[in-house]
Amino acid sequence: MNKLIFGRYYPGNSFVHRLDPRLKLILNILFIVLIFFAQHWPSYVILGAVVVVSVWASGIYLSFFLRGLRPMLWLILFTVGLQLFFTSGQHVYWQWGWLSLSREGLINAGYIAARFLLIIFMSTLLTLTTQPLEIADGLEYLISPLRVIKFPVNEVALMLSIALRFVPKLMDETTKIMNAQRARGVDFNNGSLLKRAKALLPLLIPLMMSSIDIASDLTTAMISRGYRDGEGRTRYRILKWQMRDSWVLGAFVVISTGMLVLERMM
Amino acid sequence: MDITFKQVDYTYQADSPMATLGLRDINLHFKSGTYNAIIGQTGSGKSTLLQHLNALLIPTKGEVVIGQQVVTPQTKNKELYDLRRKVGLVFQFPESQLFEETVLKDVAFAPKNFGKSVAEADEIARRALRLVGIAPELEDKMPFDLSGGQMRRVAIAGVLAMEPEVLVLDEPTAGLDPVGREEMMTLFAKIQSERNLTVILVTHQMDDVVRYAEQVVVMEQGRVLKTGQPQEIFADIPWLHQHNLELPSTGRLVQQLQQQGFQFSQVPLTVPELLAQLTPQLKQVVTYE
Ligand SMILES: Nc1ncnc2c1ncn2[C@@H]1O[C@H](COP(=O)(O)OP(=O)(O)O)[C@@H](O)[C@H]1O
Ligand SMILES: [Mg+2]
Repeated sequence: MNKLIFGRYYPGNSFVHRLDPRLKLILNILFIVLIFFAQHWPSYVILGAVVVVSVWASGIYLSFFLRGLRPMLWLILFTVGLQLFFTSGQHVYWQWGWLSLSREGLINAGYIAARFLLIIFMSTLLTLTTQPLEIADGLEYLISPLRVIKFPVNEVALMLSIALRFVPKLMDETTKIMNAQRARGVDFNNGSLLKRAKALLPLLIPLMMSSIDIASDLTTAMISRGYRDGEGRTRYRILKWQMRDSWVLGAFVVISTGMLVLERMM
Repeated sequence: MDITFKQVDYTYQADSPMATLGLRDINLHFKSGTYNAIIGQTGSGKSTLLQHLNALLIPTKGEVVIGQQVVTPQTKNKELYDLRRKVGLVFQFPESQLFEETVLKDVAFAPKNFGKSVAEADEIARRALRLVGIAPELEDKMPFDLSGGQMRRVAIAGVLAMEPEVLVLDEPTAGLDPVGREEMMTLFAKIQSERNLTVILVTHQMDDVVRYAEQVVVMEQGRVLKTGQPQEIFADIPWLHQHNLELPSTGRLVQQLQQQGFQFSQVPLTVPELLAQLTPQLKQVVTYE
């Protein structure tokens, strides 16, 4: 289970770790938007460089990211495959029925693969370098303008932080139950697809039961400590925007403007 | 089955910077058919050690020999199927592994996985349920409708139904009431002698340790601190205090009696031993008065 690093915090004190979570969230969103403006290879070189520098600045081994890619591999291959064989184009290299391999298909597939990699790396970097609670705090801040339209910002933020807080706990619980069932002869890794799907039942049901237990314990604990709603509560953790956050934001604006100008010229 | 650990190291998340030490340089021998106890503080590596006994964890270094099977860092998962059947592992709070619609089905789950037919598995399951004291009326209930103590028994029956040669128990009585605890421990002792099982028990109940164990292993920070018979382990009271280990309740009583001037040649660990040494002294007191 530890292979699924998405959602796992990687303790550290690097430059990226210390950035404001709000900044990291905004940059992640902007980065994804920017990726969809990238139509030519030079843009991908720029975006790739941004990712490489960010990963380097986080001090986390590349192998750690690569291992995290594995669960997404089939999704990526599937989408790339679709692009590869179902894009129609002029320079057809190979054709068989309605399957065709064209130059446009190759290029599109390359771009799609690059986009996937860039997005996964960036969002993995966010969750690796930012504690779940920081992410929740950052999100609460970012959605707080919605309060104007009576959106329950505090409650949603609380739900989020609770959900995020329990991701590692549920993963540990999953490992524990998997081990218990493996000791009873379940094989999660071998056998036909149907057999493996059936093997999930002894895992999912106990997991659901224990989630419900955790939730009801938490509810009791919160009520007995007098929780009502989030309105007007003061904060224990206060986010502070630093000079380095402004610098990073500035650098990102410059790079993305540069990329967009470059795109326009081509 | 004999079980031997040879210079076993285990590291969690070994190939990442988050690596945490699980076990370090473990050398141990559990003789076939004996009752063994592992004690030590929380986090000392007891559960990690147990998971090596049926190769749920594979050593990062060294080797574990279980019966004929040698488990080394290179061992492949496929080779371990047979081992898993022979070693029954009852995890901490095993009731969290229940999942079937009925109690009977849940207990029959493991034998079915290990190749028994449905009829055979049900038969074995019924026997296991009787053994742990679950009445036939409960067989068709949902496991989740039972009380906590009953769920624990069903989960344990689920492991006994594998008819293992080695029974590994990780704090099996934690959270049970005293009567339930007593019944459970008596049950394990009974099965052990009837089927000549090798039992390896992790517990914080020192009374159970002195009562049942032939060999005690003391762990601290991933290492084995000491192994020996209960008499050897519990003889050195300052050493026990130094390592934050409790005495069995007779031992605590003896300490207070010593302060009152009673003499003991060796620390008695069980009630009969205590009586044997105490009665003559009490008789003396009575005659003086
Ligand atoms: N899945 C895991 N990942 C990382 N570290 C673990 C894991 N399980 C246990 N540990 C660590 O290994 C050490 C020994 O734990 P454990 O064997 O559970 O001790 P015990 O059973 O004696 O309480 C502890 O320091 C614990 O934090
Ligand atoms: Mg433990």
